[in-house]
Amino acid sequence: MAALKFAAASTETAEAVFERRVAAVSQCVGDYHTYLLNYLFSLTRQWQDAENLLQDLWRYVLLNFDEDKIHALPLLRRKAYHLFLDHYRRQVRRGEVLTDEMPEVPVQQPNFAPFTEDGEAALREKFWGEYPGIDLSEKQKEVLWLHARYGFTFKEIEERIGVAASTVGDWIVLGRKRLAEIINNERRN
Amino acid sequence: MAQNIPSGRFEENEADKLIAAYGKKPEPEKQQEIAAMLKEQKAKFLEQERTKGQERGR
Repeated sequence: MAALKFAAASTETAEAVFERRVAAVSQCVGDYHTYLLNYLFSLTRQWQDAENLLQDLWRYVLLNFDEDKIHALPLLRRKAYHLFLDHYRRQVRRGEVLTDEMPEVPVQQPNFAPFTEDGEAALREKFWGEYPGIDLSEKQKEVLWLHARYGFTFKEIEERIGVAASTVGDWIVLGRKRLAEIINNERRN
Repeated sequence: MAQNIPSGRFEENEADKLIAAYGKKPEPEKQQEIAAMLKEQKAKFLEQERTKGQERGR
């Protein structure tokens, strides 16, 4: 009887843990789904494959990640990369040819959150915080953000923040390179 | 075939897309779809926890 009571209590606790984990992963989906979808697409070049892998990732996170790591973007990216590798190896084993000729399943456009300057500033800070130690100055980060986020031209950025357009171009190339270095290096760690 | 093998390397020219997508919420329908998928994992999670509990008890 005591054992039954203990089992019931354990089940209740596990259910509570599950609900808490679902809430944490759902929060993470809101914050990172679109980002990780783009990341996976950069690897698979297939939207449908990227979508499927991302669903696998959320399932894996829910069932296996330590609770305090659920919201850690570098770990999510790393696991996404490993899922991509598994997926790729499976395709090789099956003899499936990876081409861009496979039918594309369009992905709905992301729902753009209403723009506010404060909100965007906070997001920008959070974004760069995901890459601690990145070798870029604040000005260089700002330049890449303005170009990639809002599509400002080099000239427009020059007018906006007073950095010569040619330097803006150099910084954008540098910024992309530094980001890619960090993302590619984290897979080896 | 070789030219179709993805390198798996994150290319520099993809960085802009990550910046553009950062913090953008998925469509509510998509979020609901994922939430439903997550909830379907409950039995598996509970089973997993039970197994862990048994292993700890040994």
